[in-house]
Amino acid sequence: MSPHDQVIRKRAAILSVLMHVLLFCSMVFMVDWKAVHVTPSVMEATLWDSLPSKQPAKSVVKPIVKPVEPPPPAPEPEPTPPTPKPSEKVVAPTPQVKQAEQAADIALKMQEDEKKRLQEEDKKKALEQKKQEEKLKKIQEALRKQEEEDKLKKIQDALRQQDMDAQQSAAAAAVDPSVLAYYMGLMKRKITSSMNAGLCPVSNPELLVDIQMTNSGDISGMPKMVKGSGDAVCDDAVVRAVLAAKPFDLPDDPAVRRKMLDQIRLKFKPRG
Amino acid sequence: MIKIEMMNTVVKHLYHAFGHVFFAIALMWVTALPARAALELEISGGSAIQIPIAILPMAESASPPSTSRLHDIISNDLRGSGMFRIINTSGMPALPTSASQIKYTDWTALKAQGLSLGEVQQAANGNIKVSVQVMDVLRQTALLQLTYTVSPSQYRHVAHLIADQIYEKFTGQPGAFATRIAYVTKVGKRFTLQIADYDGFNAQTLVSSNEPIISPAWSPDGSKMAYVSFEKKKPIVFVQSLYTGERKIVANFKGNNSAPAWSPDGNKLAVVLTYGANSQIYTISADGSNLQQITKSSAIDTEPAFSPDGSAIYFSSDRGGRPQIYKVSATGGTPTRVTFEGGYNVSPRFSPDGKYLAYIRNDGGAFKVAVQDLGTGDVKLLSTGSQDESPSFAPNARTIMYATRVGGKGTLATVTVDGLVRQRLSEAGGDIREPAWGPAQAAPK
Repeated sequence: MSPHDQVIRKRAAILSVLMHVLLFCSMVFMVDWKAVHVTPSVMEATLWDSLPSKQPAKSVVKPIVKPVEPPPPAPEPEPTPPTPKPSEKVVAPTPQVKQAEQAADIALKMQEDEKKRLQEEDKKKALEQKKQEEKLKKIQEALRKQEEEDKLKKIQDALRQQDMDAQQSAAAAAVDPSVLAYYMGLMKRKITSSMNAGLCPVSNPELLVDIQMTNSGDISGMPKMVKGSGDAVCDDAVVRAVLAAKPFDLPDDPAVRRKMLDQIRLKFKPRG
Repeated sequence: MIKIEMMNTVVKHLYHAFGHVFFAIALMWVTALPARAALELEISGGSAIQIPIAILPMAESASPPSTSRLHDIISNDLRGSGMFRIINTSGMPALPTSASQIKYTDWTALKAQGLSLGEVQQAANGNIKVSVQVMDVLRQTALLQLTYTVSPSQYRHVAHLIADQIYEKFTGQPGAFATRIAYVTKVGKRFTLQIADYDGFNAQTLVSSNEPIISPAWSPDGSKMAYVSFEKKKPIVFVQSLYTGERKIVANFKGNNSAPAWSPDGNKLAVVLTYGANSQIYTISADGSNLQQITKSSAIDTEPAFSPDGSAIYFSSDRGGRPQIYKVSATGGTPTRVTFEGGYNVSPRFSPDGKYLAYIRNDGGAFKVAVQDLGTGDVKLLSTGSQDESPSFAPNARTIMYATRVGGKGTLATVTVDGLVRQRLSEAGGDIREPAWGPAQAAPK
């Protein structure tokens, strides 16, 4: 062991001793502190058997606090004990009076307890009510928030749809109009060649028919008559013309193709 | 304190109200923005005039009582109407005999919109049972299911009835294939008034004479025929029952009695008499009583025709210098002119629906059938012959029958009111003229 190590060991020993002393002192003072700071009794009560008189209480209390010293013993065999003067004023409590006082004390205590209990109950009730009100307020707040969120969500959805529409419009704007016109023209010619105008009234009513094309150029489901002519045969002839004209040619251009796969509204004027 | 609370409440409500209004305005603003516009395609007019339909041969267990097969008769009817294009099925490898066997893709590839199939079976008492199913090829649904049990003599009639049903199903108008016509033939020197199916088959003679017979006219109920016969060496108006053959003279006045035309209620006839001095229009009860003069002029008034509502009589007259069509109240009065285009318009005939007036127009020396749309006033020349005469509407007002001359002989032809389909009806021998198309409720055979 090197001298340097010996020095360190000595220091460690001293530090250890000091630490133990410190811990011991801490324990002693901590315990002492706890003993000193004993929680005082929660309540102190003074009981009264009657309302306090205007005279200071000390005249009454005095004989009790400072009893008259007994007279020196008389040499006579029958010494009469001197009657202390104050005893004339202070009525010595008889057992009956004591019981009444006790009963009164008990009653008063009970009254006080009852009063306290009621007060505590009131406090509890008030607390409960306050809690309920807070709870209600919280619910109302939550509902209001929900409502606001819903409204916001609706607006956001609508704005999102608007964005999507705008995007699609932008996409549509990218559609080559000449290609679209060419393929729409093909569709028109096919339908016209299938349309028997003679089955429609000479008043030449306007009909609106919606169709949705599939990727193969077929029609998805049946053409939807949005606005008829009022003549069942004419309406039927128009639907038949659309069905007979399918399948339609679709372009390879993806933008135009996508555009044509959207719903298409056919506006008929059968008699030209 | 209470006031403050009230104020707070009011403020709170106002706050909420403003919130709602703001939300509504925001939503309205967003939704009022233009929706994504769908593609729109305007289609005006149509070039298709015929409905493509396949009439499949029917399975017939018994030998057909007609030289024509049932599906051939139906096909001819529909083709002749001008409204249908009959798809040739002769090249098809296997034809379905029931609806469950139909491969719709095959038929849509042939552009068929309708398809009929069925069978003819032997039934009790020597009758035949004809069952036909008509399918909508585009929608792949059944359109018609028809069953008839008839005597073999009604074989053709059943075919016409089926054609009528198909026609009505696709066009919305009643067919006129199961109707009959009357016409006059001249073979040698013999004149015969005949009644036949609308296509000229099953002809039966009503009256025959060595003297001319002209102007046959069906009573509205199809039970009687009025005509003019010269058998007494002068024209006399007769009315003959088609059930009993009984006939009576309705107009046999001094001079000529001609051109009978039935009133729509069948109670009276308009006739032309030279009773006074010149040819004038009269009405007379169907029993020959109650003669009443309708026109009084120094001109020639002839060829009367009642309007479908019976309120007016249209007739030909040269009172304007050249023959034109006029109309007058059915009870008489001052006539008014109806035709103005062309210098020669005669023989007015109404369509049963009252929408068209057909007549004969001299078009540059050729006499052709013209039709005037009484709604629009448009006039269209329908026939292509040079000596066409006696137009007569089919009961469904879609077709007009008329007499024309081919190779120096008279024959019958039909044309659709739109002028798109024409066909000659009969190639039977003899000289045929004066056709009159019977009403929809034809008399039973």
